[in-house]
Amino acid sequence: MIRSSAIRIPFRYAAGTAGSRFLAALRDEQRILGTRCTSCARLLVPLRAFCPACGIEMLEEVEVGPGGTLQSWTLRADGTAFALVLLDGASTGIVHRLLGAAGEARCGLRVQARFAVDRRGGILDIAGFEPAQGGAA
Amino acid sequence: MSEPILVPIEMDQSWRYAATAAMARFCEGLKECRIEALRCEGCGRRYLPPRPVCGNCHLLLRDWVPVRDEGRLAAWTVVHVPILDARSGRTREAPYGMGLIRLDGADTTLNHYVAEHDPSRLAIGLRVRAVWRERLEGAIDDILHFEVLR
Repeated sequence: MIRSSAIRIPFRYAAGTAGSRFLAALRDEQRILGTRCTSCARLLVPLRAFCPACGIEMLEEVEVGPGGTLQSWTLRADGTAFALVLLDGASTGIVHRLLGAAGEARCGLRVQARFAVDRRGGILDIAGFEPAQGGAA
Repeated sequence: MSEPILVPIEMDQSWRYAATAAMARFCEGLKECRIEALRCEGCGRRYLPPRPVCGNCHLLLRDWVPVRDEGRLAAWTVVHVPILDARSGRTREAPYGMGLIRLDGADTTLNHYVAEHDPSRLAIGLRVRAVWRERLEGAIDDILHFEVLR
């Protein structure tokens, strides 16, 4: 005898100082923020409180995107795709939804962030990334 | 500096529970409002819910004995901060009572809801009786809760 069911687990993720600033900028300004490490000069996205490589606190807040380049992607069983996007100016990619036809996906594809209409202070304040007008880089 | 943001997230956790042969028989019995315990032929202890091996004697258990759907409260508490019910995935409206119930014919206790949350009306030793749901499914929540007999 095997029983199966599911439970729904509601929780609240505390975004922290840097994460809250990042999410508030998405929600209120539709801007994507990163942090420049004053030691190694990498521009980390999303905004962070410190550089994990150098261990120093980073204070320089920099806007990146909203355009970017598709570094990698993966198709999901439902036909949609996840995208690893290197936003313009950033040193690190972020994972998000790829909007539009997943069949268009290829490395180097120029993409653009599309912001959600209803923004509540979460990563889905970016609805996803869609191929940019004008095509390839 | 922006305000601290808490992102609300709902995660669905699916599960599959593989019952032992003993638990499968116990659950089948519930479909007919029948409760059975497994009795140890060594020490005589009657286990409810049933388990395959006696915790004292380590003997395999196979002697099924009938248990009534009435018993006594062995312990109780009133819950004010509800937890998720693993069967339904929902929280119960607080406050609610919970008890360890020793059914007549069993030596171990069953952890279940008690339809009383007034501490002044709860006491160890109170007689309680199972309230069954209308459509029995062969699961422990076929018993909705235990009502206090007064």
